[in-house]
Amino acid sequence: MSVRWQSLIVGLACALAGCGGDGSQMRFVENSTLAKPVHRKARAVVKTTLEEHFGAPLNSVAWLELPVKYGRAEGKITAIDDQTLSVEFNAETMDLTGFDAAEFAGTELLLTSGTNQEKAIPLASFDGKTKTFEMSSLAVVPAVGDQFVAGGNVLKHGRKLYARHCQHCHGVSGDGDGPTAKYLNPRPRDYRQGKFKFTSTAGPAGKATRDDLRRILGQGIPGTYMPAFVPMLKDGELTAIIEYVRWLAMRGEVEWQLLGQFKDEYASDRAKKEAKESGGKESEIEKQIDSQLKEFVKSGLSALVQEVAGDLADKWIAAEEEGAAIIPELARVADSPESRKRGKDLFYGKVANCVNCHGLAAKGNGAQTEDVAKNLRTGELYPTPGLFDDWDQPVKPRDLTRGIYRGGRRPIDIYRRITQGIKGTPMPGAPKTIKSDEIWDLVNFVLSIPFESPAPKTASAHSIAGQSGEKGHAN
Amino acid sequence: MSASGVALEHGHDHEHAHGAPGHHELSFIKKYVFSTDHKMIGMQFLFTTLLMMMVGGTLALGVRWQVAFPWTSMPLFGPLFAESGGQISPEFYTMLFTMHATVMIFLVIIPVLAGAFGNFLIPLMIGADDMAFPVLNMLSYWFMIPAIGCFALSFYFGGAAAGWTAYPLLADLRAAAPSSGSAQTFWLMGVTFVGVSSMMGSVNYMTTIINMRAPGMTLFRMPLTIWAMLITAILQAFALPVLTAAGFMQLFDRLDFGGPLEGIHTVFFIPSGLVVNNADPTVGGGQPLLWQHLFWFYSHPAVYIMLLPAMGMVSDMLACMCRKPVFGYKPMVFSMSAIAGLGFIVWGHHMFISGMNPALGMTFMLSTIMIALPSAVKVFNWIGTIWGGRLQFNTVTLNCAAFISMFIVGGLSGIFMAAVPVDIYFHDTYMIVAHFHYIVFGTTLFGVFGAIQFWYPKMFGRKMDETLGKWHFLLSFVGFNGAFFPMHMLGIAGFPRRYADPYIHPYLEHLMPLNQFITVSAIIMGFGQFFLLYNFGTSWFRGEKVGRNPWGANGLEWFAPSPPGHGNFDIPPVCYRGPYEYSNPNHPDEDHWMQTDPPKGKKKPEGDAGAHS
Amino acid sequence: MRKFWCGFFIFWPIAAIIYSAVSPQFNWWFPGPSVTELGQRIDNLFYLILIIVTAVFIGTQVALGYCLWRASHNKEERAWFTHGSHNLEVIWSVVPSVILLFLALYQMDVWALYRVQSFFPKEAREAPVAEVTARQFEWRIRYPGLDEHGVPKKLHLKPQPDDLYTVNDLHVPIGRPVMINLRSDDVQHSFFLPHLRIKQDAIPGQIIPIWFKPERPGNFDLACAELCGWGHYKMRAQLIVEREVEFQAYLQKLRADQNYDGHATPSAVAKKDE
Repeated sequence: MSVRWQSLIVGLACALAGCGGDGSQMRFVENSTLAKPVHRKARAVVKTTLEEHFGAPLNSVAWLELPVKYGRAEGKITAIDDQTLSVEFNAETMDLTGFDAAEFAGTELLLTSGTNQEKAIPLASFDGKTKTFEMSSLAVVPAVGDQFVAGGNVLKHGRKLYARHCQHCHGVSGDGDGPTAKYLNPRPRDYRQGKFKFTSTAGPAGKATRDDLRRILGQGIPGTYMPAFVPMLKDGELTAIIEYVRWLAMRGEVEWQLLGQFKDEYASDRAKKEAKESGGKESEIEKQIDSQLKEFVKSGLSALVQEVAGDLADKWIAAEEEGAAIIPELARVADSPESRKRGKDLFYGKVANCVNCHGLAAKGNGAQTEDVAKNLRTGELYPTPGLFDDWDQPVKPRDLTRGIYRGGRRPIDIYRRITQGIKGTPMPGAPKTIKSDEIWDLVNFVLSIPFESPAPKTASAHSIAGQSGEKGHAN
Repeated sequence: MSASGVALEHGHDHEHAHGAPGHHELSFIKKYVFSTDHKMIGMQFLFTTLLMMMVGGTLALGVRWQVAFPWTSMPLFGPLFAESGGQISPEFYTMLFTMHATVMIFLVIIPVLAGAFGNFLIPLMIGADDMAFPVLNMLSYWFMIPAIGCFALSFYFGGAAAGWTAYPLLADLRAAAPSSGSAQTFWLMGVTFVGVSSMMGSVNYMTTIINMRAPGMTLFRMPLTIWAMLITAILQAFALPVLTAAGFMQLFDRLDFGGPLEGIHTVFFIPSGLVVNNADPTVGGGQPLLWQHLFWFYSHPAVYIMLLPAMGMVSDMLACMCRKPVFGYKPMVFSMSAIAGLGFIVWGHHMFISGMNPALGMTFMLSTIMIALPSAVKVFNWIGTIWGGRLQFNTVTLNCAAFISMFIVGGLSGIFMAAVPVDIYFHDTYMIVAHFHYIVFGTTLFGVFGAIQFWYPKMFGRKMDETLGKWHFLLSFVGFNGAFFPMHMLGIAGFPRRYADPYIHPYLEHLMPLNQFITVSAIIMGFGQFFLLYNFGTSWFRGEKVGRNPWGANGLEWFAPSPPGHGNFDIPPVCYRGPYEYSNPNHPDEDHWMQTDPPKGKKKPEGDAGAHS
Repeated sequence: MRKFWCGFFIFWPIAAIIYSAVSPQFNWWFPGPSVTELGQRIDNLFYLILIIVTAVFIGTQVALGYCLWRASHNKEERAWFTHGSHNLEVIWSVVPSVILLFLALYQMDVWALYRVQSFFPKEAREAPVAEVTARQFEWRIRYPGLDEHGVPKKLHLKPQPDDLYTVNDLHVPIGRPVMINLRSDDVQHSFFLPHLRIKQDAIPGQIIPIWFKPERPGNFDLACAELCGWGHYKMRAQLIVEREVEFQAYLQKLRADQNYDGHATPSAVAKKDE
């Protein structure tokens, strides 16, 4: 009997140990919707490219082409003495307040310039007073003046936090398809097109700034399941998550664009189609595709990747530049009945035509929501009436009577929504012909809707004053 | 000790000779599947509940893993989440603890007591040949199967994830809980089926106990097990309809067939103007608190349904193991009745901070605190029973002693919760988790472990292995206390229940090591249950063969053959005295005096004489 | 073996007592002393019950262990034949019932102060500081707007145009009774302030007042204590208890932030608001 028990214990222990892994199987899910029409060999090329430049979730690669702060601290090497590196941190180095010097120990210092660019140096310790690093090996010898990022690896930190707080909705690769996602309305954001809805930058192509992401993380998005993460996350943690999300978004966009490049030339049904047209053998054409692809990988791929990444980097950098955030030309027009009245006329007028989607009662049920919309990317009609966003999810125009503003309730937030639109959705930016003060009128009107809900039906009920906001979100 | 057992062994050859019906051979299906024999039904319940206990235990370990090692890959469950490196999603965690509670309460504790032991013991202990309504009895088991099926379907659709209490609107609005779609609806149907099953059982038990007692078996000669079963059946009969009604109300609120069928769309529990998951604001006029009242009106008495039978069985076992009458038999009966009676007017203590009228809080505090009184009386009586006894430490005794010891802890921790102001702080923290696990696991399940050992010979004619039984007890007891005692401290630290990742709250960060200790203890306890299963399975074939009365006990069930044939008694039993005449000085031959032994000078019953001839 | 098992049943309560006694050292205890006086009284009630319960726990467990020991080492040929004692039953019914009744009645006034509205401090009852709305999975907080002197207006049950909003960040002044209106937007939640010993469910469709008088400044945790869905554990917020001046300044800042239009300085916004 004792043998039996022993074997049972051993078996159980094995089962526990065997299954309780360290999560090393975690992997990025590839972009299935866009990948499907692309030839599988071309898909494999995209996959290897991504692995080369981004790595895996648990083993990320720092690709310096992209404007991502991989490390906590950036700077320049000022002196080298045997194993000791004296450094000088850049002014815009990430927040070092409350920073534990011990965090550098056991991490790597990544060189970002010089002959050893993109090489990593393992670190043994950091002395905050003298600003010196102790190298733990001399395999790579940097030169004085080399730029570096170091410390704690923000991206890894971000990945951990992302896994804990974000992943179950936004997915491992940021595709907005985590296990919880399927229950949520609206669906969690899919970052991989690099589109973020509520930004301060110009629409529709502007990227999100770090501050935009920080604001959304901190305040949440009212009316959705995106919760506010402050005070749950501290400043440094937000920083790390933001960098990781930016990195995921860039990774997804590179994937998206490469697949887009391959889509026409290397369609998945190309062999079949050509065989039909020319009467040749399918296998022959497959071979042809193979060699053509191999040729391209040798000659043109790196240039293409550089170009895609360069473009991407420019856009993300542009979002961070001074003046990228939209600031109204004029200060807010004083909120008065007259201003609201002007705003109201705009709302119902032909130029702004808000009423088309938001409806006569501003309840988000305008005429447009009854029509069948056209998918602008494929040119096909959507199967059901209503509006759809760039992720092919149905969206409803905001019900403005409820006083819930997803992008924020500050006047400037509403102003930006109206002038720049909401990225990735049918909400357009206001025509340039509408002047800043008129936009403010509109803002004043919109902000007054929950309290004095506009009369339904015709414009004959224009006298809004005196109507009480019974239908506000009070109940 | 088993003198009388040996004496009665002669009767073995004459099995069936005197049994009422049951001469004819039954087909396999009739005998083992759709059996109307109360013993077979009891056994079916027992096997089902033991199986479900493994399911519920596995779910519990899943819960514990997440709390101790959040977001790391779980053993067993981990591979399901390979893509995210074994990291589970929070709604999966919510499902785990909901289904753990559901399985343990509705498919283990309630059916193991009333279903398994109630069925097996009631006719045997009162000297009846079967239940009053055998077919109803069979149906009460077979209604468990659709219940299990519904819960399985609930799993299939993602698992109910609104807690076992299914509070609206989380459970009521389909949009509110992620997997709430069909899973919660099937969950409700499962609970309803369990209710129907219990209801059939309880009608049967009441009728049987009241009408089918053997000659001489007056109410105050009934063993405490039977008293407990009777009171439990009454509790069930009066409380269950409320839950069933509430379940249907929630079902009607939820049902949405989609398409042209639409739903029923009642709004019993849905107030107006709620915005869930970006849907349109609700239109209603319902009151979510109504569900809590209805639910706890059943579920608080249900706690006693989960406890009283074990109390009765422990009283019987303890008296036998101490060779001494139960101390204060009538006070025991009265205190059980008092618990049952008060049990109906304490449900509000689950709702102290729910926002109900605060004046009710005071009323319910008074009644709740008073319910501690009969419980205290019972504890004193059990200790009194042991006092002066001649005790033998076998597995049964150990489990009974653990039962008392655990009941003291569970009862005392209940006082903190009964006191409203203190409950403000402890409500929905781990203090509650610790408290009710001490009651339904520590108390009831140790009672059940003892009862399995004690009545196993009657079920299979063989004894269970003592060494294995003691190892099982030791691992269960150590694991149990290691797992649940520290939870009191978690509760005092304000550790809320049902948190998938509590450590995002700064005041809970330092409690992770304590939780890891708890989880390791829980794994030990879970591991210990394999000893029980192994012991249960192998003793069936290899256990020591025993006669009718291996423990030298007094009850009528020990007068029947082991295992009893169809119709139970080969000799129709007649009851001459109470069930606890151990070490009676008027009966110097033996230290027990069976209820069926005729007094001196009286003629032995005919059947008995026949057996001895 | 008898000795082992008797020892076993005597050992475990001792272990439990020792464990409980050292728990505060390891911080497995209340998260600090209560910030409110009422919370302190709840703690005191807890300790009162704890003392009684510990005494009963020791008493009964020792009695159980001793009885087990006596019974398993019984040298007599037969057990003591008794069906019980009427006097003993009376004693052990009456004594606990007196203690229990005392416990129940002794708690009433704390409960009344905590929860019965007519017992609330008048100043708190008349001027709720904020409305806290729980929703999946965050706490949305609404303060009344400020008048021309920067003094908070009366909090209306329905939102007003100049209300101030924050999320997961509840600021209250120190040293005066503060009342919060609690409500829920979707499912049931529970407003749990462990450091203040405050807990109250938020019931959809109801507005439930809670009051407390914080005596100590600081940053305290606010958590949800009633299962509200998959993100139940995520509902972390903070309660910041600060001096009246800081609290007013906080409201001013909130107003300035909320009216930010890309140009205005906070004071200009304040003017334009009127």
